[in-house]
Amino acid sequence: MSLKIDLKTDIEFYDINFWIGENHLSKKFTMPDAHLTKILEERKDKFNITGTLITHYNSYFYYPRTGNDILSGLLSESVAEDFDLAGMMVMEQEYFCEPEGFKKGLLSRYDQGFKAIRLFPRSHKYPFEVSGFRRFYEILDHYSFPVMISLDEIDITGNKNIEWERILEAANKYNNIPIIIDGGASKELMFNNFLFSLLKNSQNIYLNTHNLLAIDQIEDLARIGGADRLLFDSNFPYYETHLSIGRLTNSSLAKEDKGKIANLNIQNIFKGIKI
Amino acid sequence: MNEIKRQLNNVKVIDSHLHLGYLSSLSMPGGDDSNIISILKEFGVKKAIVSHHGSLSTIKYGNEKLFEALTLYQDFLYGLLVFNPNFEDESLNMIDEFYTRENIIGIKIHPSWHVCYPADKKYKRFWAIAEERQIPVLTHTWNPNVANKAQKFSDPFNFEEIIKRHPELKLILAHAGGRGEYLYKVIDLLEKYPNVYVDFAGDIFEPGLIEAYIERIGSKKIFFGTDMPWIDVRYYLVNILSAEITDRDKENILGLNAAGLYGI
Repeated sequence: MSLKIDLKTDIEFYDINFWIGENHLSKKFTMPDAHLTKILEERKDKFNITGTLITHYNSYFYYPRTGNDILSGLLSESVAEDFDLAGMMVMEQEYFCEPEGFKKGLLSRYDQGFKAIRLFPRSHKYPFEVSGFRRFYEILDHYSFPVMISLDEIDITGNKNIEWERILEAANKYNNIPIIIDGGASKELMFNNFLFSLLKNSQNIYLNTHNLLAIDQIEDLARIGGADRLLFDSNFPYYETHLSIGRLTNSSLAKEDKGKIANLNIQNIFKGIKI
Repeated sequence: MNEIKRQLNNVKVIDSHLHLGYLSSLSMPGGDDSNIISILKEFGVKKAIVSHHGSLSTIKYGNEKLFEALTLYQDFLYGLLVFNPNFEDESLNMIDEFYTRENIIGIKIHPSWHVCYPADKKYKRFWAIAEERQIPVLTHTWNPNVANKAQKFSDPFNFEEIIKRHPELKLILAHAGGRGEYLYKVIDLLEKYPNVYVDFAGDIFEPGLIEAYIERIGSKKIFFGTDMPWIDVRYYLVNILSAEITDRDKENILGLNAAGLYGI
Protein backbone atom coordinates (compact mmCIF):
# COMPACT_ATOMS: atom_id res chain seq x y z
CA MET A 1 0.00 0.00 0.00
CA SER A 2 1.30 3.40 -0.94
CA LEU A 3 1.51 6.07 1.74
CA LYS A 4 -0.41 8.65 -0.23
CA ILE A 5 -3.57 10.41 0.82
CA ASP A 6 -6.51 11.00 -1.50
CA LEU A 7 -8.00 14.35 -0.55
CA LYS A 8 -10.81 14.45 -3.06
CA THR A 9 -14.19 14.33 -1.35
CA ASP A 10 -17.72 15.25 -2.35
CA ILE A 11 -17.23 18.68 -0.76
CA GLU A 12 -16.93 21.34 -3.45
CA PHE A 13 -14.41 24.08 -2.71
CA TYR A 14 -14.33 27.69 -3.81
CA ASP A 15 -10.83 29.07 -3.29
CA ILE A 16 -10.89 32.81 -2.55
CA ASN A 17 -7.12 33.29 -2.41
CA PHE A 18 -5.27 32.14 -5.51
CA TRP A 19 -2.44 34.01 -7.24
CA ILE A 20 -1.48 33.87 -10.90
CA GLY A 21 1.22 35.56 -12.97
CA GLU A 22 4.91 36.28 -12.60
CA ASN A 23 6.29 36.66 -9.12
CA HIS A 24 9.55 38.51 -9.69
CA LEU A 25 10.91 37.35 -6.34
CA SER A 26 10.57 33.66 -7.01
CA LYS A 27 10.38 31.30 -9.94
CA LYS A 28 8.82 28.74 -7.63
CA PHE A 29 5.89 31.02 -6.90
CA THR A 30 5.50 32.14 -10.51
CA MET A 31 2.36 30.76 -12.14
CA PRO A 32 2.35 31.81 -15.79
CA ASP A 33 -1.01 32.98 -17.11
CA ALA A 34 -0.74 30.38 -19.86
CA HIS A 35 -0.77 27.61 -17.25
CA LEU A 36 -4.02 28.73 -15.65
CA THR A 37 -6.25 26.14 -17.28
CA LYS A 38 -3.86 23.30 -16.46
CA ILE A 39 -3.54 24.38 -12.82
CA LEU A 40 -7.28 24.69 -12.40
CA GLU A 41 -7.86 21.29 -14.00
CA GLU A 42 -5.39 19.67 -11.61
CA ARG A 43 -6.98 21.31 -8.60
CA LYS A 44 -10.43 20.23 -9.70
CA ASP A 45 -9.27 16.64 -10.23
CA LYS A 46 -7.31 16.37 -7.00
CA PHE A 47 -9.37 18.42 -4.58
CA ASN A 48 -12.76 19.17 -6.13
CA ILE A 49 -12.01 22.90 -6.26
CA THR A 50 -14.74 24.13 -8.59
CA GLY A 51 -14.47 27.89 -8.14
CA THR A 52 -11.63 30.35 -7.75
CA LEU A 53 -11.25 34.02 -6.93
CA ILE A 54 -8.01 35.08 -8.60
CA THR A 55 -5.53 37.80 -7.70
CA HIS A 56 -2.91 38.68 -10.29
CA TYR A 57 0.68 39.19 -9.11
CA ASN A 58 1.08 42.06 -11.52
CA SER A 59 -1.50 44.12 -9.65
CA TYR A 60 0.42 43.61 -6.42
CA PHE A 61 4.04 43.76 -7.55
CA TYR A 62 3.84 46.11 -10.52
CA TYR A 63 0.75 48.27 -10.81
CA PRO A 64 -2.84 47.59 -9.74
CA ARG A 65 -4.55 48.92 -12.83
CA THR A 66 -2.28 46.98 -15.18
CA GLY A 67 -2.70 43.77 -13.20
CA ASN A 68 -6.45 44.21 -13.08
CA ASP A 69 -6.47 44.69 -16.85
CA ILE A 70 -4.42 41.55 -17.40
CA LEU A 71 -6.74 39.59 -15.15
CA SER A 72 -9.73 41.05 -16.95
CA GLY A 73 -8.33 39.51 -20.13
CA LEU A 74 -8.02 36.11 -18.49
CA LEU A 75 -11.57 36.33 -17.17
CA SER A 76 -12.88 37.02 -20.65
CA GLU A 77 -11.55 33.68 -21.92
CA SER A 78 -13.64 30.53 -21.95
CA VAL A 79 -11.70 29.12 -19.01
CA ALA A 80 -13.65 31.49 -16.76
CA GLU A 81 -16.92 29.71 -17.49
CA ASP A 82 -15.44 26.23 -17.24
CA PHE A 83 -14.05 26.82 -13.76
CA ASP A 84 -16.37 29.37 -12.13
CA LEU A 85 -13.74 32.07 -11.94
CA ALA A 86 -13.96 35.56 -10.51
CA GLY A 87 -11.42 38.33 -10.31
CA MET A 88 -10.00 40.09 -7.29
CA MET A 89 -9.77 43.77 -8.14
CA VAL A 90 -6.79 45.38 -6.48
CA MET A 91 -7.45 48.97 -5.35
CA GLU A 92 -6.16 51.26 -8.09
CA GLN A 93 -3.93 54.21 -7.20
CA GLU A 94 -5.72 56.61 -9.56
CA TYR A 95 -8.83 56.75 -7.40
CA PHE A 96 -7.06 58.47 -4.53
CA CYS A 97 -6.62 61.60 -6.63
CA GLU A 98 -9.89 61.10 -8.45
CA PRO A 99 -12.31 59.38 -6.06
CA GLU A 100 -15.34 60.39 -8.11
CA GLY A 101 -14.20 57.88 -10.75
CA PHE A 102 -14.26 54.96 -8.34
CA LYS A 103 -17.94 54.10 -8.71
CA LYS A 104 -17.74 53.86 -12.47
CA GLY A 105 -14.49 51.92 -12.25
CA LEU A 106 -15.92 49.44 -9.79
CA LEU A 107 -19.01 48.83 -11.94
CA SER A 108 -16.82 48.35 -14.96
CA ARG A 109 -14.60 45.83 -13.16
CA TYR A 110 -17.69 43.98 -11.95
CA ASP A 111 -18.84 43.69 -15.56
CA GLN A 112 -15.43 42.19 -16.36
CA GLY A 113 -15.91 39.48 -13.72
CA PHE A 114 -14.39 41.01 -10.59
CA LYS A 115 -16.35 40.15 -7.47
CA ALA A 116 -14.21 41.50 -4.64
CA ILE A 117 -11.64 44.21 -4.03
CA ARG A 118 -8.36 43.70 -2.24
CA LEU A 119 -6.64 46.44 -0.27
CA PHE A 120 -2.88 46.64 0.20
CA PRO A 121 -2.58 49.78 2.35
CA ARG A 122 0.86 48.95 3.71
CA SER A 123 2.50 47.72 0.50
CA HIS A 124 0.85 50.25 -1.79
CA LYS A 125 0.94 53.09 0.76
CA TYR A 126 -2.57 54.43 1.30
CA PRO A 127 -5.05 54.81 4.13
CA PHE A 128 -7.61 52.15 4.92
CA GLU A 129 -9.16 53.66 8.04
CA VAL A 130 -12.62 55.21 7.91
CA SER A 131 -11.41 58.81 7.77
CA GLY A 132 -9.07 58.35 4.79
CA PHE A 133 -10.95 55.68 2.84
CA ARG A 134 -14.49 56.98 3.55
CA ARG A 135 -15.52 57.81 -0.01
CA PHE A 136 -14.62 54.34 -1.23
CA TYR A 137 -16.19 52.54 1.70
CA GLU A 138 -19.44 54.41 1.06
CA ILE A 139 -19.62 53.09 -2.50
CA LEU A 140 -18.57 49.58 -1.52
CA ASP A 141 -21.20 49.65 1.22
CA HIS A 142 -23.86 50.78 -1.21
CA TYR A 143 -23.18 47.76 -3.41
CA SER A 144 -22.36 45.32 -0.57
CA PHE A 145 -19.14 44.69 -2.44
CA PRO A 146 -16.67 42.38 -0.62
CA VAL A 147 -13.34 43.73 0.59
CA MET A 148 -10.33 41.58 1.41
CA ILE A 149 -7.47 42.86 3.52
CA SER A 150 -4.49 40.96 4.87
CA LEU A 151 -3.29 41.11 8.45
CA ASP A 152 0.16 41.89 7.06
CA GLU A 153 -1.35 44.92 5.36
CA ILE A 154 -2.90 46.39 8.52
CA ASP A 155 0.30 45.78 10.42
CA ILE A 156 1.51 49.18 9.30
CA THR A 157 4.66 49.15 11.41
CA GLY A 158 5.60 45.66 10.23
CA ASN A 159 6.08 44.66 13.81
CA LYS A 160 2.86 42.83 14.60
CA ASN A 161 1.17 46.02 15.74
CA ILE A 162 -1.98 45.21 13.84
CA GLU A 163 -4.54 47.98 13.70
CA TRP A 164 -7.47 45.86 14.76
CA GLU A 165 -9.66 48.70 16.03
CA ARG A 166 -9.49 50.51 12.68
CA ILE A 167 -10.77 47.55 10.74
CA LEU A 168 -13.47 46.97 13.34
CA GLU A 169 -14.52 50.61 13.07
CA ALA A 170 -14.79 50.31 9.28
CA ALA A 171 -16.78 47.09 9.57
CA ASN A 172 -19.24 48.58 12.01
CA LYS A 173 -19.70 51.85 10.14
CA TYR A 174 -20.12 50.15 6.76
CA ASN A 175 -21.86 47.00 7.78
CA ASN A 176 -23.08 46.05 4.31
CA ILE A 177 -19.52 45.38 3.22
CA PRO A 178 -18.38 41.82 3.80
CA ILE A 179 -14.85 42.39 5.09
CA ILE A 180 -12.62 39.36 4.65
CA ILE A 181 -9.53 39.26 6.85
CA ASP A 182 -6.79 37.36 5.08
CA GLY A 183 -4.28 35.72 7.39
CA GLY A 184 -1.42 36.54 5.03
CA ALA A 185 1.85 35.28 6.45
CA SER A 186 0.83 35.97 10.03
CA LYS A 187 0.75 33.22 12.59
CA GLU A 188 -2.84 33.87 13.50
CA LEU A 189 -2.89 31.77 16.62
CA MET A 190 -1.04 34.65 18.26
CA PHE A 191 -4.11 36.79 17.66
CA ASN A 192 -6.91 34.49 18.71
CA ASN A 193 -8.29 36.95 21.24
CA PHE A 194 -8.37 39.67 18.60
CA LEU A 195 -10.05 37.34 16.12
CA PHE A 196 -12.65 36.33 18.71
CA SER A 197 -13.23 40.00 19.42
CA LEU A 198 -13.64 40.89 15.73
CA LEU A 199 -16.20 38.16 15.23
CA LYS A 200 -18.09 38.94 18.42
CA ASN A 201 -18.19 42.69 17.79
CA SER A 202 -19.16 42.77 14.14
CA GLN A 203 -21.57 41.06 11.81
CA ASN A 204 -19.72 41.45 8.55
CA ILE A 205 -16.14 40.38 9.26
CA TYR A 206 -15.05 37.05 7.81
CA LEU A 207 -11.79 35.12 8.19
CA ASN A 208 -10.12 32.98 5.60
CA THR A 209 -8.72 29.67 6.76
CA HIS A 210 -5.27 29.05 5.28
CA ASN A 211 -3.34 30.36 8.25
CA LEU A 212 -5.61 29.17 11.05
CA LEU A 213 -2.88 26.76 12.03
CA ALA A 214 -3.26 26.19 15.76
CA ILE A 215 -4.85 23.14 17.23
CA ASP A 216 -8.61 23.18 16.61
CA GLN A 217 -8.44 26.87 15.67
CA ILE A 218 -10.90 26.45 12.82
CA GLU A 219 -13.31 24.53 15.04
CA ASP A 220 -12.97 27.09 17.84
CA LEU A 221 -13.55 30.07 15.57
CA ALA A 222 -16.56 28.35 14.02
CA ARG A 223 -17.96 27.70 17.49
CA ILE A 224 -17.30 31.24 18.71
CA GLY A 225 -18.22 33.23 15.62
CA GLY A 226 -20.26 30.72 13.63
CA ALA A 227 -19.24 28.65 10.62
CA ASP A 228 -20.86 31.36 8.49
CA ARG A 229 -17.88 33.62 9.18
CA LEU A 230 -15.10 31.40 7.82
CA LEU A 231 -14.10 31.17 4.16
CA PHE A 232 -11.90 28.52 2.62
CA ASP A 233 -8.73 29.66 0.89
CA SER A 234 -5.49 28.00 -0.13
CA ASN A 235 -3.09 30.95 -0.50
CA PHE A 236 -1.75 29.13 -3.56
CA PRO A 237 1.07 29.02 -4.59
CA TYR A 238 2.61 30.25 -1.34
CA TYR A 239 1.04 27.27 0.39
CA GLU A 240 0.41 23.92 -1.18
CA THR A 241 -3.30 23.41 -1.61
CA HIS A 242 -3.38 20.03 0.10
CA LEU A 243 -2.76 21.76 3.45
CA SER A 244 -6.01 23.74 3.61
CA ILE A 245 -8.05 21.03 1.91
CA GLY A 246 -6.72 18.31 4.19
CA ARG A 247 -7.28 20.38 7.29
CA LEU A 248 -10.91 21.25 6.52
CA THR A 249 -11.93 17.83 5.28
CA ASN A 250 -10.43 16.29 8.43
CA SER A 251 -11.97 18.80 10.83
CA SER A 252 -14.47 17.72 13.44
CA LEU A 253 -17.06 20.17 12.14
CA ALA A 254 -20.44 18.94 10.92
CA LYS A 255 -20.51 18.26 7.20
CA GLU A 256 -22.96 21.12 6.74
CA ASP A 257 -20.49 23.54 8.34
CA LYS A 258 -17.63 22.24 6.23
CA GLY A 259 -19.74 22.90 3.16
CA LYS A 260 -20.46 26.44 4.30
CA ILE A 261 -16.79 27.20 4.82
CA ALA A 262 -15.71 25.42 1.66
CA ASN A 263 -18.13 27.07 -0.69
CA LEU A 264 -21.54 28.29 0.43
CA ASN A 265 -20.46 31.30 2.48
CA ILE A 266 -18.55 32.92 -0.35
CA GLN A 267 -21.33 32.12 -2.81
CA ASN A 268 -23.77 33.88 -0.49
CA ILE A 269 -21.46 36.88 -0.26
CA PHE A 270 -21.29 37.06 -4.07
CA LYS A 271 -25.07 36.74 -4.33
CA GLY A 272 -25.41 39.65 -1.93
CA ILE A 273 -23.57 42.07 -4.25
CA LYS A 274 -26.15 44.67 -5.23
CA ILE A 275 -24.99 45.60 -8.69
CA MET B 1 -11.52 5.79 11.07
CA ASN B 2 -10.36 8.92 9.22
CA GLU B 3 -8.32 8.63 6.03
CA ILE B 4 -5.12 9.95 7.62
CA LYS B 5 -5.20 7.38 10.40
CA ARG B 6 -6.07 4.62 7.95
CA GLN B 7 -2.99 5.45 5.89
CA LEU B 8 -0.81 5.45 8.98
CA ASN B 9 -2.26 2.32 10.55
CA ASN B 10 0.93 0.28 10.24
CA VAL B 11 3.40 3.13 10.35
CA LYS B 12 5.45 4.11 13.38
CA VAL B 13 4.51 7.75 13.78
CA ILE B 14 6.35 9.74 16.44
CA ASP B 15 5.67 13.42 16.95
CA SER B 16 9.13 14.43 18.11
CA HIS B 17 8.36 18.07 18.89
CA LEU B 18 5.32 19.21 20.79
CA HIS B 19 4.42 21.12 23.91
CA LEU B 20 1.94 20.81 26.71
CA GLY B 21 0.70 23.49 29.09
CA TYR B 22 -0.15 27.13 28.53
CA LEU B 23 1.64 30.36 27.65
CA SER B 24 0.59 33.83 28.78
CA SER B 25 0.62 35.22 25.25
CA LEU B 26 -1.45 32.47 23.69
CA SER B 27 -5.19 31.90 23.85
CA MET B 28 -6.05 28.51 22.42
CA PRO B 29 -9.32 26.99 23.61
CA GLY B 30 -8.36 23.69 22.02
CA GLY B 31 -4.90 23.66 23.53
CA ASP B 32 -5.44 21.74 26.75
CA ASP B 33 -3.29 18.67 27.26
CA SER B 34 -6.02 16.06 26.93
CA ASN B 35 -7.22 17.51 23.62
CA ILE B 36 -3.68 17.60 22.25
CA ILE B 37 -3.12 13.94 23.08
CA SER B 38 -6.55 12.98 21.85
CA ILE B 39 -6.09 14.64 18.45
CA LEU B 40 -2.62 13.15 17.98
CA LYS B 41 -4.02 9.68 18.60
CA GLU B 42 -7.09 10.30 16.47
CA PHE B 43 -4.85 10.97 13.47
CA GLY B 44 -2.51 8.04 13.89
CA VAL B 45 0.38 9.33 16.00
CA LYS B 46 1.70 6.43 18.10
CA LYS B 47 4.21 8.20 20.38
CA ALA B 48 5.02 11.80 21.20
CA ILE B 49 8.03 13.63 22.64
CA VAL B 50 7.07 16.66 24.67
CA SER B 51 8.75 19.62 26.28
CA HIS B 52 6.44 21.47 28.63
CA HIS B 53 5.73 25.16 28.10
CA GLY B 54 5.99 25.52 31.88
CA SER B 55 9.57 24.24 31.83
CA LEU B 56 10.67 27.10 29.59
CA SER B 57 9.76 29.56 32.35
CA THR B 58 9.93 27.67 35.62
CA ILE B 59 12.16 24.68 36.21
CA LYS B 60 10.41 23.18 39.24
CA TYR B 61 6.82 23.84 38.15
CA GLY B 62 7.52 22.80 34.59
CA ASN B 63 9.07 19.52 35.67
CA GLU B 64 6.16 18.75 37.97
CA LYS B 65 3.70 19.27 35.14
CA LEU B 66 5.85 17.28 32.74
CA PHE B 67 6.11 14.34 35.12
CA GLU B 68 2.36 14.44 35.77
CA ALA B 69 1.74 14.21 32.03
CA LEU B 70 4.28 11.42 31.60
CA THR B 71 2.49 9.43 34.29
CA LEU B 72 -0.94 10.12 32.88
CA TYR B 73 0.01 9.21 29.31
CA GLN B 74 2.81 6.76 30.06
CA ASP B 75 2.21 4.50 27.07
CA PHE B 76 2.26 7.41 24.69
CA LEU B 77 4.43 10.23 25.94
CA TYR B 78 8.17 10.81 26.33
CA GLY B 79 9.65 13.93 27.85
CA LEU B 80 12.44 16.42 27.30
CA LEU B 81 13.82 18.37 30.24
CA VAL B 82 14.57 22.04 29.59
CA PHE B 83 18.01 23.50 30.24
CA ASN B 84 17.80 27.17 31.21
CA PRO B 85 21.23 28.84 30.98
CA ASN B 86 20.06 31.65 33.26
CA PHE B 87 19.70 29.04 36.02
CA GLU B 88 22.73 27.05 35.08
CA ASP B 89 23.40 25.23 38.35
CA GLU B 90 19.73 24.48 39.01
CA SER B 91 19.30 23.19 35.47
CA LEU B 92 22.36 20.97 35.63
CA ASN B 93 21.27 19.59 39.00
CA MET B 94 17.86 18.92 37.53
CA ILE B 95 19.41 17.00 34.64
CA ASP B 96 21.53 15.04 37.05
CA GLU B 97 18.52 14.17 39.19
CA PHE B 98 15.91 13.45 36.56
CA TYR B 99 17.58 12.43 33.33
CA THR B 100 17.43 8.76 34.24
CA ARG B 101 13.73 9.02 35.11
CA GLU B 102 11.49 6.76 33.09
CA ASN B 103 10.43 8.22 29.73
CA ILE B 104 12.84 11.20 29.93
CA ILE B 105 14.85 10.94 26.74
CA GLY B 106 16.47 14.29 25.96
CA ILE B 107 16.86 18.00 26.63
CA LYS B 108 15.22 20.98 25.00
CA ILE B 109 16.93 24.36 24.80
CA HIS B 110 15.56 27.65 23.53
CA PRO B 111 18.25 30.33 23.15
CA SER B 112 15.73 32.98 22.03
CA TRP B 113 13.36 32.38 24.92
CA HIS B 114 16.23 32.47 27.41
CA VAL B 115 17.99 35.34 25.56
CA CYS B 116 21.37 33.63 25.60
CA TYR B 117 23.66 32.60 22.77
CA PRO B 118 24.52 28.89 22.70
CA ALA B 119 28.22 29.77 22.75
CA ASP B 120 27.77 31.77 25.94
CA LYS B 121 29.79 30.48 28.87
CA LYS B 122 26.51 29.70 30.66
CA TYR B 123 25.97 26.85 28.20
CA LYS B 124 29.53 25.54 28.39
CA ARG B 125 29.10 22.83 31.03
CA PHE B 126 25.78 21.79 29.52
CA TRP B 127 27.30 21.06 26.12
CA ALA B 128 30.04 18.95 27.67
CA ILE B 129 27.55 16.92 29.71
CA ALA B 130 25.18 16.41 26.79
CA GLU B 131 28.03 15.12 24.63
CA GLU B 132 29.55 12.96 27.32
CA ARG B 133 26.25 11.37 28.33
CA GLN B 134 24.99 11.19 24.74
CA ILE B 135 21.83 13.12 25.57
CA PRO B 136 19.96 14.23 22.44
CA VAL B 137 19.43 18.00 22.44
CA LEU B 138 16.53 19.62 20.62
CA THR B 139 17.14 23.32 20.06
CA HIS B 140 14.93 26.06 18.74
CA THR B 141 16.47 27.66 15.63
CA TRP B 142 15.29 30.59 13.53
CA ASN B 143 16.34 33.04 10.89
CA PRO B 144 17.67 36.10 12.76
CA ASN B 145 16.45 38.49 10.06
CA VAL B 146 12.86 38.73 11.29
CA ALA B 147 10.89 41.26 13.33
CA ASN B 148 11.48 39.36 16.59
CA LYS B 149 15.02 40.44 17.48
CA ALA B 150 15.43 37.66 20.04
CA GLN B 151 15.63 35.16 17.20
CA LYS B 152 19.28 36.19 16.71
CA PHE B 153 20.13 33.97 19.68
CA SER B 154 18.81 30.96 17.78
CA ASP B 155 20.52 31.47 14.44
CA PRO B 156 21.26 27.86 13.41
CA PHE B 157 24.78 28.86 12.41
CA ASN B 158 25.45 29.88 16.03
CA PHE B 159 25.66 26.16 16.67
CA GLU B 160 28.45 25.42 14.26
CA GLU B 161 31.21 26.21 16.74
CA ILE B 162 29.43 24.06 19.34
CA ILE B 163 29.24 21.16 16.92
CA LYS B 164 32.91 21.51 16.04
CA ARG B 165 33.84 21.57 19.71
CA HIS B 166 31.57 18.62 20.54
CA PRO B 167 31.56 16.35 17.50
CA GLU B 168 29.72 13.51 19.29
CA LEU B 169 26.89 15.79 20.43
CA LYS B 170 23.49 14.78 19.02
CA LEU B 171 21.76 17.99 18.03
CA ILE B 172 18.37 18.48 16.42
CA LEU B 173 17.86 21.87 14.79
CA ALA B 174 14.16 22.47 15.32
CA HIS B 175 12.27 24.44 12.67
CA ALA B 176 15.24 24.17 10.28
CA GLY B 177 15.98 27.86 10.66
CA GLY B 178 12.33 28.83 10.36
CA ARG B 179 12.11 31.29 7.49
CA GLY B 180 13.36 32.18 4.04
CA GLU B 181 16.76 31.17 2.76
CA TYR B 182 17.73 29.74 6.15
CA LEU B 183 15.45 26.79 5.49
CA TYR B 184 17.84 25.78 2.71
CA LYS B 185 21.13 26.97 4.21
CA VAL B 186 20.59 24.61 7.14
CA ILE B 187 21.05 21.68 4.75
CA ASP B 188 24.75 22.60 4.63
CA LEU B 189 25.05 21.91 8.35
CA LEU B 190 23.31 18.56 8.03
CA GLU B 191 25.51 17.63 5.11
CA LYS B 192 28.68 18.60 6.92
CA TYR B 193 28.11 17.22 10.41
CA PRO B 194 27.00 13.61 10.98
CA ASN B 195 25.29 14.15 14.34
CA VAL B 196 23.08 17.06 13.33
CA TYR B 197 19.40 16.52 12.57
CA VAL B 198 16.42 18.70 11.74
CA ASP B 199 12.67 19.02 12.16
CA PHE B 200 10.17 21.24 10.36
CA ALA B 201 7.95 21.79 13.39
CA GLY B 202 6.10 25.11 13.43
CA ASP B 203 4.53 26.81 10.45
CA ILE B 204 7.19 25.52 8.05
CA PHE B 205 5.18 24.65 4.96
CA GLU B 206 7.50 25.89 2.24
CA PRO B 207 6.45 24.08 -0.94
CA GLY B 208 9.01 21.50 -2.04
CA LEU B 209 11.11 21.79 1.13
CA ILE B 210 10.96 18.13 2.15
CA GLU B 211 11.84 17.08 -1.36
CA ALA B 212 14.79 19.52 -1.46
CA TYR B 213 16.22 18.09 1.76
CA ILE B 214 15.87 14.51 0.59
CA GLU B 215 17.55 15.29 -2.70
CA ARG B 216 20.60 16.65 -0.86
CA ILE B 217 20.89 14.54 2.29
CA GLY B 218 18.35 11.71 2.08
CA SER B 219 15.59 11.18 4.63
CA LYS B 220 17.44 9.85 7.64
CA LYS B 221 18.16 13.15 9.37
CA ILE B 222 14.66 14.60 9.20
CA PHE B 223 12.22 14.23 12.10
CA PHE B 224 8.47 14.65 12.08
CA GLY B 225 7.49 17.25 14.69
CA THR B 226 4.36 19.37 14.91
CA ASP B 227 4.93 22.01 17.55
CA MET B 228 1.44 21.20 18.81
CA PRO B 229 -0.59 23.02 20.03
CA TRP B 230 0.86 25.88 17.99
CA ILE B 231 0.25 23.99 14.77
CA ASP B 232 -2.44 21.38 14.27
CA VAL B 233 -1.09 17.90 13.52
CA ARG B 234 -3.48 17.49 10.58
CA TYR B 235 -1.51 19.99 8.51
CA TYR B 236 1.71 18.05 9.02
CA LEU B 237 0.44 14.61 8.32
CA VAL B 238 -1.30 15.70 5.14
CA ASN B 239 1.87 17.51 4.10
CA ILE B 240 4.12 14.49 4.55
CA LEU B 241 1.65 12.06 3.02
CA SER B 242 1.30 14.37 0.02
CA ALA B 243 5.05 14.88 -0.49
CA GLU B 244 6.63 13.57 -3.68
CA ILE B 245 8.97 11.15 -1.90
CA THR B 246 9.11 7.39 -1.47
CA ASP B 247 7.17 5.48 1.16
CA ARG B 248 10.46 4.54 2.80
CA ASP B 249 11.39 8.21 3.12
CA LYS B 250 7.98 8.95 4.63
CA GLU B 251 8.41 6.17 7.17
CA ASN B 252 11.87 7.42 8.11
CA ILE B 253 10.59 10.93 8.67
CA LEU B 254 7.36 9.98 10.39
CA GLY B 255 8.99 7.90 13.09
CA LEU B 256 11.90 5.61 12.34
CA ASN B 257 14.50 8.37 12.59
CA ALA B 258 13.27 9.61 15.97
CA ALA B 259 12.92 6.04 17.22
CA GLY B 260 16.55 5.40 16.32
CA LEU B 261 18.03 8.55 17.81
CA TYR B 262 16.02 8.54 21.02
CA GLY B 263 16.01 4.75 21.38
CA ILE B 264 12.26 4.37 21.70
